[in-house]
Amino acid sequence: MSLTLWNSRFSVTLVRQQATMFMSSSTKTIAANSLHYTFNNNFQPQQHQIQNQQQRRYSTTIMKPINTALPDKGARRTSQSGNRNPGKTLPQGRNSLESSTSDSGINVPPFNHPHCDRQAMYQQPVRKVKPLRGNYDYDLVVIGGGSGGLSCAKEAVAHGARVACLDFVKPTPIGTKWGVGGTCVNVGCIPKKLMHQASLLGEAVHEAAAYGWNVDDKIKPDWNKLVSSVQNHIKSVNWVTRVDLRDKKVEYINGLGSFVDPHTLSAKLKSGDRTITAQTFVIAVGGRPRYPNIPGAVEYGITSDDLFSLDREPGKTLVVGAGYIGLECAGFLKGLGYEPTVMVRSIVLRGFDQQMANLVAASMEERGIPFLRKTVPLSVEKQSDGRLLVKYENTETGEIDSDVFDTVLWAIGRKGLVEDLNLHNAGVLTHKDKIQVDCEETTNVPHIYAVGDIIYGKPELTPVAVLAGRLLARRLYADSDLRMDYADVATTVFTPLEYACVGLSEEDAVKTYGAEEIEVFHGYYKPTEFFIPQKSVRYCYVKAVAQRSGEQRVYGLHYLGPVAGEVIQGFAAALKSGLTIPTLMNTVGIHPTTAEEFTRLSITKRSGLDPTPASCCS
Amino acid sequence: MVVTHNVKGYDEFSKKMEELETGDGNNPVHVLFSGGKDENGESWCPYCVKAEPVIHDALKKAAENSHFVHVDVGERSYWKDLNCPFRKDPNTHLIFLPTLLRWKSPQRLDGERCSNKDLVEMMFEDEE
Repeated sequence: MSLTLWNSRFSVTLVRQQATMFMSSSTKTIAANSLHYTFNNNFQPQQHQIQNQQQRRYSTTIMKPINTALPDKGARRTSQSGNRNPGKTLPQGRNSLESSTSDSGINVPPFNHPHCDRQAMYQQPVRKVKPLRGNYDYDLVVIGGGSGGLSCAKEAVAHGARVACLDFVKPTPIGTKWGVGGTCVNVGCIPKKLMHQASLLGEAVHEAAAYGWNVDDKIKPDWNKLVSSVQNHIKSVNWVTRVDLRDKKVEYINGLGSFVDPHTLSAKLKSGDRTITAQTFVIAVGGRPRYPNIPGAVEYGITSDDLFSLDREPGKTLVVGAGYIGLECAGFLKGLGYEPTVMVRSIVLRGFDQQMANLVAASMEERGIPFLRKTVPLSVEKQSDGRLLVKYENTETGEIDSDVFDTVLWAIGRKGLVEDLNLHNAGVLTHKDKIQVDCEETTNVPHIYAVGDIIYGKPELTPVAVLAGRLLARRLYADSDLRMDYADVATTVFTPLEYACVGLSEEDAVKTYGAEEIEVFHGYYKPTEFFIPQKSVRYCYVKAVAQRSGEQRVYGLHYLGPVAGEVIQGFAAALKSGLTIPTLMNTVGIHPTTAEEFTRLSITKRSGLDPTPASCCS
Repeated sequence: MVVTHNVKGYDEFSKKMEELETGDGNNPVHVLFSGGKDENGESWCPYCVKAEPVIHDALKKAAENSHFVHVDVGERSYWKDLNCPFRKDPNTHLIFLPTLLRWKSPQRLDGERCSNKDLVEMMFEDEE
């Protein structure tokens, strides 16, 4: 108990996140519960106070009794090191927290959200970096020209640093390669969203008939045209990125970097090797899809790295993996008229709210995408007709089956690209295939940082990397104290019926606060525009996971329906601002929209009442 | 040596591009669109005036046997018409003058960037 209480000075979020990474689940639950209690009794009084330092001090004072009520020094110590990288020397910052709070409190908003990281973001003194222009080629070398690396490099230059950014793409086993910009632009969010859009448009054309448009029933997609449109867009983004780098005076080096020593990098370029020294490094190399270790996987399978530039129609496709990438690919392939099948080893959308995940899967099944559940692939063989014979096993029954596909797409997860970096030469430790960093994105080596998908235990999302990279550059070169808040990041799964969420899943909320402390508001709804074309409304569903008593804080929002990302983004800002259920209920909706369903939530799961809607305007 | 072509107006431009595509499809073609000049040789488009010397200077960085087409788009009122064919052509989709682009490629610079020596050289040298 004492251990967890000590932690309370950094906001619940920190505990929640760090707990996920380092603590056992039992500790985590206790931590969260006690923090909840702490929050209710001590943080509430200042909710509506005006921002000023006086009040910051006040909040520090009222927190103090809790902090000092800790008898066990050993426990304190444990919780501290639990928050850091293993083996890393603890900075003085955390120990001297109480004394330093008032100094660093100037920028601190008086607001304390139960799961926002603001306390942690501001309270500890930021390590100040050495002056610029040392005896190195560059002040900063960023390894990786993706979302995180580019934003960090550009921001660093803007604050006067001499910066080089390395980017190199190893071709996939079937030879797909791409330009600067990283996963998101080239083989991730951007082409995915475009193909999703292509698929939605096909759907829209069918609906158009019901709305009075005279359309040919025989519409069919031209895969090659789609691919070339998508690739042209990507290539112009690549060009704009290169122009931007040149314009902002970031030296772009198209080479594969690996460490020679802690301050020296060797870059493999087309023109030969080049040695580069720098005072500071940021590792932002990102990740790539994994291949399963079964016969034929690498020879005959493709991944999302290949799909968006595939020079032939995918045809009947086996999508192995039911994470968001697998589901999104299966979704747009279906919409484009191909026949995807999703193979699921255990659960759908791991890490997401499982009720929502299962609704997403059910909505895909309703659209005619078969799911092979509890199934793992055994082998892929190429038949004489060129098609692929896949053998697979049901892990529950042990039954072995097979089917023939035109394309096998591996979407079983992604691995960090630590291999080529020769990190041991720099002394940087890895964790699995990722790199662990502290709350300032520092690795175990003080002048080497990491941002983006390569860091361990944080959301692998472009905007997260972009902001983390930018904030890091500002701390390094612009005297900023602001840290990245990895909590409550909204995200969307672009399945045919889209799913977006922000904050905690229902199960995480239950785990953190206890089932008795949680109220879940939910409801099915009928989008107005679904009636005329008689689209299925069966899976249009929203829910809010909230604190049961007290202020009724909203811990998480979940939305399944059209344009989910557009719906949830604004609510994400609300949630980060401390949204409560009463506020949500007092918000007037925009009619007729689907987003307004969040303002109409009135049925709790606990009540057992039917969450299906009566009529539109009741 | 870079082969330079000067054309005036949309029809001349389309004809020239067709001719280059059929005649010499493999070598890169760079196209500069700028505002027309009056009888004194002065353009109504100040950024075009600024860009021109920079671009002509940087041309030496362009690939051997590549083409450079300088397109005089025409008078200001013609260009300002939102239905101006230069704006509507899917291959040009012009929004700004000047625009420097590589024909049917992603490389494109517009406005003030056309007078940035670094960026213009990058356009001519770019191999991706």
